[in-house]
Amino acid sequence: MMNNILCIKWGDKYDDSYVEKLNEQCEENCSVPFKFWCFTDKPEKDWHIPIPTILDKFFDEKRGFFWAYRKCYMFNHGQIPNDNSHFPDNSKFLFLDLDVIIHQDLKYFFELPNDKPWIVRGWWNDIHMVKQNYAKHKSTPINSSAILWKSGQMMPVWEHVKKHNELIFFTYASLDNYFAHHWYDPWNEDSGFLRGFPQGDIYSWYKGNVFPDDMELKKLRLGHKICLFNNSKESNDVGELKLLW
Amino acid sequence: MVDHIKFTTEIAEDWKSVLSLLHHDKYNHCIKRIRDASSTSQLQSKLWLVSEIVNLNIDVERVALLAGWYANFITPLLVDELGVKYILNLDSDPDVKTISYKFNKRHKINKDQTKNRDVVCLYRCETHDVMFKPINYGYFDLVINTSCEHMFPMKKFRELNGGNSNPIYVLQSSNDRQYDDHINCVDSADELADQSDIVDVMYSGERELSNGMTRYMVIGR
Repeated sequence: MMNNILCIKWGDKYDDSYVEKLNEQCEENCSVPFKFWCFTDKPEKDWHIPIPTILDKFFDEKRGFFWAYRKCYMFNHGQIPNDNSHFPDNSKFLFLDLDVIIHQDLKYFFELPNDKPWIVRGWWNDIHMVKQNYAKHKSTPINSSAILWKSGQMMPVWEHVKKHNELIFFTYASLDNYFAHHWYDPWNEDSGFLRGFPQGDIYSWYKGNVFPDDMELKKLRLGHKICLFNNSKESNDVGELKLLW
Repeated sequence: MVDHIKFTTEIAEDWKSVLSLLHHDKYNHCIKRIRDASSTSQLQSKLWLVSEIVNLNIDVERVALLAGWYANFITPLLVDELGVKYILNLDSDPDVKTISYKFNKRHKINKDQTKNRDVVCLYRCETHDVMFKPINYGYFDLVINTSCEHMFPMKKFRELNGGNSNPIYVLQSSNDRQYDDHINCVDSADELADQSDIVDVMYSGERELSNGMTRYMVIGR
């Protein structure tokens, strides 16, 4: 199976240095062969893949709902017969947001069982609040900053987004919230389509690690695999990450 | 005008059992929501709704509640004031099923159907997102959605559930945009009717509730 590490970059929030740095971190922290790809709105290099635009018309910039929809293109790309120009069948895909710091060997992820796709389970969330706020579309337990799947495995998600485009873009403020409502079950966490990475794998710089016992913010945990810099606040300072590179 | 719920011994028993449930760790995250579902404004909006259906003299046997939450106020009102025989509550929140069955235990459908014979009205609740999947539970005289501000316009539901049935829709929404989950507020009853493709309007009105928000209601097809 071919291992692929994917990232995605659009707009101006992150400059090219974030992509370069992620690539560099992967080179330094992955002991199994892999190919690095970037879905981008400004393709220039042979490892750049142009981001499709077919969902753009459903995005209402004023409301800003489902703003990370471009990530969904990855779930389809390369899965169409006769369109596997980038990815051969039987590929594995590890998607990473641009604002992550990799601490440990990514080989770990490529060796996880692949009967189901994996996604970040935000263990820093209080599960009681997750359930209390489920209908309010808040306190989402899922985070799409890192996703792992094999060829074809995420196609049902892509098909669902395509089929219910208008409805999904209207209803869900975030991709994570959409995932939590349709592809994950906070009441029975082993039963969903998506499976959460175990505790100890991925933590958040701005939100902590595991509720309630390890919630110190802005603390590096080098024994974990990946640190996320997810922050839903508008004031998210992308520069803070650079200080830790 | 309907201005109160008949608080019978049976209702007292059922509602007490909800309080008992909240002692379990598994459900104590529901306390706030149950309190919110039991507010003055919740009751006001349900009394208003049932009053207008009574005024319209509509004959109702089977009712679908969309996103009906715990159906704690609406169920006794529909049963006692309108003689409703069957209520189906569809809500996407998985906790709703357990809690609403507690609130309405006296009407719950037993798996052993023979035990249902003495029940005046049967109540059923399913975890179901009504905008994504059609409802396949037979015909309904009335479809009630008092949560329109929380979801995509009702025209979508009508597209999904076209078929041969032609129920009367009872819809409520609000102009209260302070909450993130109020994703589809309206500024008039006409706007609510329009986004729901209601062309035969039997009732249309607005009311300011105790919490200060303006609530809009449309009844029609």
